[in-house]
Amino acid sequence: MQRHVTRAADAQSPDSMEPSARTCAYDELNARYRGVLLTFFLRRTGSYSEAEDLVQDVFVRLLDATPDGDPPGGHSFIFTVASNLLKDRHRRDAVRSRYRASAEHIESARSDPLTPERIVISKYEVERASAALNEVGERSKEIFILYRFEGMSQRDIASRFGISVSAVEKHVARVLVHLNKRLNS
Amino acid sequence: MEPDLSPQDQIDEEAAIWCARVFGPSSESFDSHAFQSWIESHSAHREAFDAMARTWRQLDGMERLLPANSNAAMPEPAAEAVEEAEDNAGHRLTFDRRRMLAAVAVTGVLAVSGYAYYASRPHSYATENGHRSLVRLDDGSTMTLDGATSARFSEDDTSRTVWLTAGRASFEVAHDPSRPFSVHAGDKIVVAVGTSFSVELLQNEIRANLHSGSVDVIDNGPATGAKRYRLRTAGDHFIAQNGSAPVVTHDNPTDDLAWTKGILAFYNESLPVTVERMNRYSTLQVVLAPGLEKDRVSGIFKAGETEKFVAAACELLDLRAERTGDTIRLNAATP
Repeated sequence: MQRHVTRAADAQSPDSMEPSARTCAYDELNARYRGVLLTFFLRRTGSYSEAEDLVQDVFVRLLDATPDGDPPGGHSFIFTVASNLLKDRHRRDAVRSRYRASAEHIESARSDPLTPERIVISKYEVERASAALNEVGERSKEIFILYRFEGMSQRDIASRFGISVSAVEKHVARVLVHLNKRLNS
Repeated sequence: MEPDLSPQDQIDEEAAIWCARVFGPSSESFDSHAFQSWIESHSAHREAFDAMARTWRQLDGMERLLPANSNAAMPEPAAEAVEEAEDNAGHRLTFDRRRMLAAVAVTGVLAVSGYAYYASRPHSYATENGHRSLVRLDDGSTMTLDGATSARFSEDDTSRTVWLTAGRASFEVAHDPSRPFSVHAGDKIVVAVGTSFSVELLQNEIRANLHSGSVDVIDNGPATGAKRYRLRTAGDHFIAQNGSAPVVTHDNPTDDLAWTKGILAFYNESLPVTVERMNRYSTLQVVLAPGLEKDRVSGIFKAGETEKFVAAACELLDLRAERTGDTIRLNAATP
């Protein structure tokens, strides 16, 4: 495990030990947990900037709780903090969207959030996406659908098609690059 | 590595690979440190990744609206016999657990909720000709499949979705207002919160019948754009025939759920529809000569008694039956 001892020592200020200890602890947390936490939040929020902010929040909370940056229980403590942050965020979002729902759709609130307008819009997007999907090779398309929509793992797809996992990864990536070109440029 | 990719194409491809690893279903071999150092090594990586992530997310929910035959992409039949549904659930559990364990080994995460994502893996159900089946779905709803019927079910935090890809199914929906229950059949979507209804996919039409509560049927056909029809009284029927505007009727005195008990009851029903329904219950398949589409049938038949049905149809409608192997062809007796 990489440790940023040197950098922390450089940052040490003469008049106070506290900020530098904190910096050191921060660097240590950063080196050890930044990657996993980024992935953790990215998977759940879908946005890299949001994930970065949340990682920052986790570190701040951890450092407030344990100034030396060595939390009791290690991993599990850190991920408890992380998932609590996420829960807070969901709760805020839920309150916000409930308010919006009750303000806008009092009449149809009982029935469903799948309004015809939403369907028309998503239908248009789906048409564009499926047109783009039809422009790639049949095999790539099948692999992409299995991975993206059927939730099949790369390993399972690889063994089904008798190809390597990295070949599956290449197929998926190429289709995604193509869709990105068609849908977002 | 590709020889003739431009630097930007190269970055895009790397971004796509990372994006698929981060958001895709396999987390076995995910190296979060490698990901971090890739994305933080260059601002162009970050930008490319953001674009790919946006595209990836744009596809959310697309499977609900993909044509039903998109599961033709499965290289082997997706439809397991319903009798094996429980067995299946068992398999899925072990599968998910293996995946969870793998995830734990990589990231050291146990106490967190990785379940929600995996929960949305669809399950397939199918009945063979002549079989009916009652399935309890994971959300507590029940689904009864008519013969020769296939359907997929998946759920997540915001929705419960069935894709009916052939035949007929009736539903007793467990009440859960936060997650609407929708059944996709062709370009029609039936949406319910908690109620009982059936949906049927026929060769030339799609029907939805309400048994209790209320449902919305959304017609997503290309000609009409999206239109909504509400069924609010038990016995309401939504009928959408190919090429004509859907209608909602309430004039069918037969028991809409008789089929779930093995009785096929027809009241002034079109001959093609009665034939299609009878055919779900027999290896004996009835086909109609052209010109008989407008004929109508009333009567009550036991599922599987195709020969009796044929005899009655010949008698009532003045038809002639011609049997070759397992196929009975009905012709007009007087051409």
